Order: sequence, then C-alpha cells, then structure tokens
Amino acid sequence: MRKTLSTAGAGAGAIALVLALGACASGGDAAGDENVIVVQTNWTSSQAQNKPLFDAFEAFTEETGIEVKVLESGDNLNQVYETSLLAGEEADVLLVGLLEKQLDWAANGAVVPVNDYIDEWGIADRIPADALVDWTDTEGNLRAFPYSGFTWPWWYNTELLAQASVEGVPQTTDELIAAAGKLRAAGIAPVVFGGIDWSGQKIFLQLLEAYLSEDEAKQVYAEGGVCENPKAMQGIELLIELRDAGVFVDGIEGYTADQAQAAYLDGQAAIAPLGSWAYPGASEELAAATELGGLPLPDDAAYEQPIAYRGSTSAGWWISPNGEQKIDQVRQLIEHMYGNEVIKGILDEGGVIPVADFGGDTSGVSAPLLAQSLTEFPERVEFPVMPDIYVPADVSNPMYRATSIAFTPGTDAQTICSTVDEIYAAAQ
Amino acid sequence: MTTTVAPEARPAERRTAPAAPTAVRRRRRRRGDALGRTGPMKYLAHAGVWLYVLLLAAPLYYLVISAFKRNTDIFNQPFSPFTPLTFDNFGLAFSQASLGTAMLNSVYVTLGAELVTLLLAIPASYALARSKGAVGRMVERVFALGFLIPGFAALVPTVLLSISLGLFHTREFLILFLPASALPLTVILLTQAMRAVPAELEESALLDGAGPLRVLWSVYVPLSVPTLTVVAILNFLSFWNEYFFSLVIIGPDAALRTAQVALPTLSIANAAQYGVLAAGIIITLVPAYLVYAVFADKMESAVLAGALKG
Repeated sequence: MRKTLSTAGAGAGAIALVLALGACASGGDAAGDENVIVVQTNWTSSQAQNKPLFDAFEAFTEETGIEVKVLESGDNLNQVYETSLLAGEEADVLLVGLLEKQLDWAANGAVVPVNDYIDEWGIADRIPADALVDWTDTEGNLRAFPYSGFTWPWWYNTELLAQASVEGVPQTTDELIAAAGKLRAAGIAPVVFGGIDWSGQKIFLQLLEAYLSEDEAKQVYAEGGVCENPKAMQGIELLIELRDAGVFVDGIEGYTADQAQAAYLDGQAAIAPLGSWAYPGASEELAAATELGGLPLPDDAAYEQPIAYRGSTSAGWWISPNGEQKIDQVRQLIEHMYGNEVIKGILDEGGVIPVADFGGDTSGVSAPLLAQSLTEFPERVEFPVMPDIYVPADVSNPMYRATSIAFTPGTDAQTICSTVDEIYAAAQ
Repeated sequence: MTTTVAPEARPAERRTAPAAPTAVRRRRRRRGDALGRTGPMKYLAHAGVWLYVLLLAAPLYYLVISAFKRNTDIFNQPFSPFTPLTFDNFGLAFSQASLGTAMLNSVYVTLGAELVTLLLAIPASYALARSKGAVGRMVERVFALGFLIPGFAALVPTVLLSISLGLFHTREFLILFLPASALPLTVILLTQAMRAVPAELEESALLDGAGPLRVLWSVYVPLSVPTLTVVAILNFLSFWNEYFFSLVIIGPDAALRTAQVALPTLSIANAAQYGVLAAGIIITLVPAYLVYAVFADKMESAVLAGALKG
C-alpha cells in the first residue's frame, strides 16, 4: 500500500511540476506584434565580437520604443527558417551570410528582394558596386542588404620564417617551395589549413583559379568541366607541385579548419590561410610577428601578385514576408544598423569588417591584424573571384571530399579533376 | 510459476564461510581450475576487455577534460591533463546559452511527455496483457510495427500536423508527439511484465469487489514498478536528448528552446568554442545522470527479476 501511495505521490508531484514549468515561459506571438521585430541570426551572443551588435539593438529599442527579439541559431539557421516560413511564423528579419541554401531564397520567395528598399532608404550609395553584384541573383533580385564582409589572407609567422633562415615572406611559388624546405629542415610545419573541410575547399579553388581569368573562374565554379579546361588543369598541376614538394604539412588531407587554426595560433606551423574571424584569437606576440599576404604564384599565372580572398557575403540583412508586413519598423532598424556609430562599433570593438563605406577611418581599430588587413594587406595581394556565390549549393559540401582527395599524396591531376566533375554531374 | 532468489540469503552464506574453510578452498581451487583451463588466453582476454573499456572511456575522458581547456589546447594536446585548466567554461556555457531556461524547458517537455506516455501505456498494456483473443494479439503487433517507422520519415507530416493544430513553435506539441515514438517499446515491455502477474491475485481482488481500474492501480501497477522504472528511465533519456524535432518544431526562441537546441549556439562553423561547448554538454548531462543514479537500483532489480523468472 505504501508503495502504491508513493507511486501516486510521485505521479502527482510530476504533474504539478509539469504544470508549473508550463506556466513558466511563454513565447507569445512576437512575429505578429507591430512593436516587436524578430531578428534571426547566427551572430550568437556567446561570441564576444558580437557584443556591439546586441548593444546596437538595445540602443535601437531605447531610441524608437520598438523591441528587438533575437532568435539565435547555429549552423542550422536556414533549415529552421525555412520550416517556420512554411508555418507563416518566420522571423521578420535575418542577419546571416550568403551561401548554400540562401543563394536561392529570393528566387524561391523565401525572402523579399530589397532592390527598391535599398534605394529608397538611401543605403545603396554606401555599398560598393561589386558587393551589390555579389548579392544580386541571376534573376536580378538583390537578395539582402550587404552588411559585413571578410578578408582571408595567408598568415606568415615572420619569427618562425626567420628561425628557419627564410628571408622575407615568399612572393613566388619557387620561393614558397624553398621556404617550406627550410622550415621542414628546422622542424617547423610549413603551410597548414583544413584539408578535409570548407577551409581546404577554398584553398583548393584558389589554386584552381591561379591561371583562370575572372570570367573563366566564374564559369568553372558554376558549371564544373575542370578536366576539359586546360587553365584549370594548370591550377591542379600547381597544387600537385606544391603538395609533392612538401609545402603543406604532413597529413593535410585530414586536417580540419579548427586544427589548422590551432596549429598556427600555437606557433607549430609557420604559414596558414585564415579568415578575418581568426584575428581575435591571435595573441599580441603572434599578431606582431604575423604578416598578412597571399598565395604566391608562378610567373605565368593570371595574377602578378600573390592572391587572397575577400568578400562581402559574411552577413546581410534579409527581409522575410512577415517583415514586409511591418516594413516601416524594419526600415527604422536597418537604417539604425547602417548608422555610422553602429558600423564603427562593430568594426572597432567587434572586429567585423563592414561592407558599407565607413569613411576609411581605422583609427579606432585596436586589433593589430584587423588594422593590417584594412591598410597594408590590400596593397600586397590581388583578389580573385570568391567561389561561394558561384559554386552551386548542391556541389559545395560534396566538394570537401574532392578537396581531401586532391591533397592526398599520390593522387594525380586526372583523378582530382574527374572527382570534381563527377560532383557537378551528380548535382545536375 | 515464478521463482526468485532471496537476496537475504547471500549475507548468510558469507557469515557461514569462515566456519567452512575447506569449502572455500575447494571453491577457490575450482575457480583456479577454471582460469587454469583457459590458459594464457585469459591474459589476452583480460587485455582485450580492458582495451575495450579504455576505448569506451576515452571519449568520456576527452569530453570532461576538454571542458576545462582553451580551444588551442584541445586541438594541440587533446588528451593531456597537463595544460592550463579553467572552470570558466562552465560559467560561460551557462550564461551564453541561457542554459537555465533551456534546462527548465527540457524538464517540462521531458516530464510532460513521460507522463503522457505512461498514462497511455499503462492501461493499454493492462488490456493487452489480459486479452486472450485475436484482436488483442493484432493490436500488440500493431504496436510492434511502430519500431519500423524511422523518426526522420515522420518529420514532414509532423511539422504539417503541428502547423494545422496551431501548435507550431510550442513545447506542448512535443509533449504530445514524443510519446508516439516511445509507446511501442513501452507498451511491449509493460505488457510482458503485466502478463507475469498471477491471475489469482486479480481474481482475489475481483472477489473483494474491485473494479478493473482498482485492479490495475492496486494489483498490476505495484507489481510492475520495476519495469515501469526501466521504461521511465529509457524514455527520460530519449526525451531529454531529443534534438531534431525540438529544433524544427519548438524553434530557437530562447524562452522556449530545450537544452539540446541551446547547446549548438555555443559553437558555430568558424567561431567554435569547444571547451565551452563541452562544459555545456556536461551541465546538461547532470539531470540525466541524477535520474539514472536515483533509479539505477530499481532498474537493476527489474533486469535481474527478468533474468531469474522461470
């Protein structure tokens, strides 16, 4: 009997707890409230560099009385957004980058093209023309307001280079090969990146386009056909030359971006192509020893200087169909976020590179590598086509495997190009 | 007929052991003989078992030690405990992912779904256990068919159902939906347990004037407590760790999301904080571990009872 009573007591207790917890939190219908703007973003509050963004939201609420409700999502943002769109309960505005599924959002009606709004709200004049091109799809829809960009330089640890008796940062392929030999002789790992993931994919494509013009690169990225393109094949031969000369660290085909970043930041590797998101992770000593440059190329390549990526597609402000229902409030938010004070805040404190013109004033930038990337770095390199917006969404992820195969010793050029072309064929 | 070994007998045996040293020696010799028969293979077997234990323990160790490390140390010295260790990751995980609210939401969804599951499964199992006809057998098989439906296959219709019910972006839909995935196993295990209840007990209760509900509550439920505990723990772990439906249906709203949905926000593609993420995972493991620790003895007795039934 006692056991029956205790079972009943446990059940009653559980029911009471469930009822109490159910009353605890209630989301409410913020999406339908005209005094609330729901923003969905992968700029999570857990990242210190995003603090200026959240401060800007608070300032906006104080200024206008409009509350900003932030839905923080991880890498699954697009899936969560698309499902909520199906229910008509999507966020009003999104702050997210332009890649993969997002490439087709405007054409599919998942978001509202902002062609008219960007002119009406006076923001178009502050956005560089090439950024507007990047954010416009093949149907002429401006997908979103371009907001933040990135640089993706090659980082050279000059102290480690000096330890290995390498004089200066390599400027040609031959110099890079010679530097790698000296670094290996001194027991220092040469070039490191994530050979098995997205970071290695970008370096693979950077090598692929070493001999391609911009238009040719765009075509190859969009359609494939690597094996039939002699210039693309030259790029693959260059990759093989560097790989077989020991320029990349041993086992590069298994490295992840995180492992590669840790290897450079810890002083184990002397050279690494790392994006601007890694700037805050560098210690003061490492930042002082690091020179930002690019991938050195042979004399007959399509570029005269080393090359590195940069882009304007890190994040943009997207307007959803729900957002268009309260377009006046959305306009106020977007105009606030493009205000000089906010733009300077995310640059100076957050280390985020704005797409909008901020007048070139970098005096408030305290992070040395960010300052270097805005001043000296652009003079040292040329910028080829950034592949993200041209490589189809269905091809992007499967290409990681092709990348890993390409960086595996012993793989020949024909195998590499066939693997890539098969991925394009499968996606069609 | 059911026979069980009375646990009280074991201490008594131990108490008598010193009085019979020859018996002990004989037992030791027998054990020695058994090991001796295995020959050198026993060392190999021991080594294999310990290696397997280490393989199983390694990821857990990696998770725990990573929770105290910086990102760079996690990658450069993944298994070493001799790197600078910090407790900061736990505080950061708790505050940055709003784990307090998220864990309350997880408790709400988990307990709610658990209650609904048991409320549905107990009467269903009672009916199936007492059923003698073909319909009962067919219904039991229908429950078993539930195992054949993969969760992902149900995603799209489930989302559409939640939208049409007006329960999209609510925790309550998960409370109603999760039991559907748990019912097959719960009903089958409980039905087997209730079949083992002697029919004489039910007959006595009926003679005393008890109705079917009274029989269920006063006879079947108390005698099924060990199995109920097992299914409750299994369901708790399954509901607590559920991620995909929670992500898609409840969504990312910090006021509603569960702990499993909150955790990934600690680590995104090019700004991963693996130490903070590992700390967050450990925090969310605590309730699951506590539930298991509290009910572990009941679960073990249920398993043992099942093993000794003849």
